[in-house]
Amino acid sequence: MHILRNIRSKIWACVSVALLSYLIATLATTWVNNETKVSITHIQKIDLPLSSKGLLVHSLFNAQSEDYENGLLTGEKGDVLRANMRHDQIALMLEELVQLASASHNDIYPRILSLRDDYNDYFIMASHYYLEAVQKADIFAARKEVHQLGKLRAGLDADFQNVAEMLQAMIVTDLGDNNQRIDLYTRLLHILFVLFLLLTTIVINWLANKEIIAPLANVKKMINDFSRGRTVDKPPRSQGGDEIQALASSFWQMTRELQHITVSRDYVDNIINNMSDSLVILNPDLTIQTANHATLSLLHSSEEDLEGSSFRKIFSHKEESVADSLFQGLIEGKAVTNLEALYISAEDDAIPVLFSASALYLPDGSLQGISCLAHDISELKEQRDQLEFLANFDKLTGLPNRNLFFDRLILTMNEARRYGHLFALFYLDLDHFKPLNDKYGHEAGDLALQEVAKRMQGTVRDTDTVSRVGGDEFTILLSRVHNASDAMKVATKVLDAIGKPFVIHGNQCVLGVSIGICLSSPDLTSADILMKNADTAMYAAKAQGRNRFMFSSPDQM
Amino acid sequence: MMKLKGHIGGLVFFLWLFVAGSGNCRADADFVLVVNVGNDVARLSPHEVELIFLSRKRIWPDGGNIAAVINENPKIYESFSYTLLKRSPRQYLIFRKKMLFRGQGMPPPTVQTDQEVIDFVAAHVGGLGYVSPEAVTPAVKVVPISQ
Repeated sequence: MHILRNIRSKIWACVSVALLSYLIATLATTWVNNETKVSITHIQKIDLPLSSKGLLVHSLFNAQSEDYENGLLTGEKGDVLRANMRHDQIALMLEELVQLASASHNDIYPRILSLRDDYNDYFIMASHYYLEAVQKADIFAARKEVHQLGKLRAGLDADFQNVAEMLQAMIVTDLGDNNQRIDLYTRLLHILFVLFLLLTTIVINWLANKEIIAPLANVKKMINDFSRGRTVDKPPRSQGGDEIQALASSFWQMTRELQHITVSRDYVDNIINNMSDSLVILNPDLTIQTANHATLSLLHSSEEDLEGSSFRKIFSHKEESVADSLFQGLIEGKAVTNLEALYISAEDDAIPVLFSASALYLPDGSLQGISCLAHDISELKEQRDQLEFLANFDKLTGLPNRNLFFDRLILTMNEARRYGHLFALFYLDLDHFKPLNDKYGHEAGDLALQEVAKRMQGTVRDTDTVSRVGGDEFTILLSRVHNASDAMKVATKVLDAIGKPFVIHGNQCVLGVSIGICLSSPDLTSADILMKNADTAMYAAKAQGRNRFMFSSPDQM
Repeated sequence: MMKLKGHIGGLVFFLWLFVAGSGNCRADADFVLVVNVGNDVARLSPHEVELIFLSRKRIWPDGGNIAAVINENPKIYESFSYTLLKRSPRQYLIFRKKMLFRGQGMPPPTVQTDQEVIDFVAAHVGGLGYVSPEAVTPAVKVVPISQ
């Protein structure tokens, strides 16, 4: 159906079917009316004149007969003449009847014809004999003829009467026929109307169903299928499809595109869920909207626990104020890149992360949420701490090494200079360590060194620094002392602590230590000199017989 | 009831007139009915005579045609007309004219004298006429008028 290219044409097709039926019904009614009109016109133009003329000609004939009779009975010639004069009128009227009857009713036509002829024959004789009888003043003179004429006229009278009645009956018959015809036509029209109503209803229903409802139902089925996640078949494409087909095609196209989008979204979801970094999407009110698998495994948490809870629950920073301003900034649209922060796991463990975040906006510019990316750096940090430890601490004893010691020494020097207080530097060297090492092995030596370190730390304050600067050489930095005796007290405690025997691998050993002490003074501005002084004092103590302490210069005592 | 009495009264009066009339006719009849001598008829009632002259009865009992003739002899015509036809001669004339004109029947022929009647009746087997009693000849047969 190439004509039914769009819905408008289809609706017009339905309307046209209805209009066509209406037109046919109107034509049928018009035809019926016309038939009725023809019939009524026939009655008006033929039947009525025939009937009235029939009656009239009969009454004229009667009047003529009466005139003849009067003339004959009274002997008045004038009556007979008047009767003769009526002939013209009667003859004319009979001619008219003949003509009218010839136009239609064949059955009555011969009757009228013969009536006319009979009358004319009768009149020829009547006009003659009656006049003669009157003129002779003796009706009985031509008895036979007059009698014959009388019979003839009686027959004619009956004929006239008959014809007039027939003509009247004809009107009644024609009117009756007309009524019957009207009844028949009315019935036929009813049947026709009902048939057309049925036909029109069927055709319109069929058209509407085929062209509008079925295609729409197909679209609906496609939508239902799609909403239930089934595959939507491509709609059959017919030539010159209408809007509904266009709709179906567009919908199918849309489902295809949506499938592509869904596929890409799945792809992106896959990437997000499989990425090693944590990705958390926040709502504008800083509650968690969604989190990827990496986040869940990082925090040992479940999706249900996280979703909807506050981000502050899992986010932390060493400085509380930084966290506060960070979130405020995010809401205002500022981005954060590679900030070292902490994520708090379900077990309340702090996990160091490199945190980046940026705001997400809707097309209308309003804040949709915040995406937070966090890279777990706990391993890195551990490695870094290890490196830092190795750089600044002695691996064996865990004491600060020479490097850190000098750092702290300079720090302490600066503080002392600034605040004008004293500090003391001890340089210690173990006595008789080498024989022990040789005797019991390096392992035993190492254990001895660890024990020594522990004992040394036990003798000083938290603010003081004990460090190992060489194989069996240590330093102690007393960050703040009032005078030399403070240093002496500590040195004595150190000597006591080290001098106590200790057991290594089941063997009791005794070690000693020689301590060189250098007290700070304003003129000693170099760490190297301070070290050198203490070192020198230590050698002096060694030289004095070991296991003792010596100040770097006598005036320091 | 009054109306019914009126009708009965009229009927009685009419019967009286009829009986008186016929009695009168027989008592002093100035005419007699004559038929052909060959006619077997014994008598005729006044009504039969009336019907014959009004052309309502045309056949004799033996099947022959009745050929009536009107005698316009002034001495008896009027009497005959009034007595048997119950009409004046003029009324009878108009009756005959009308009958003729309307083709309802052929009125009997007319003659002017008794002799003509006797000749006509003698000449026609079914002939019937009326003549003065003194005019009767053996050529015809007199038929009495009685009920």
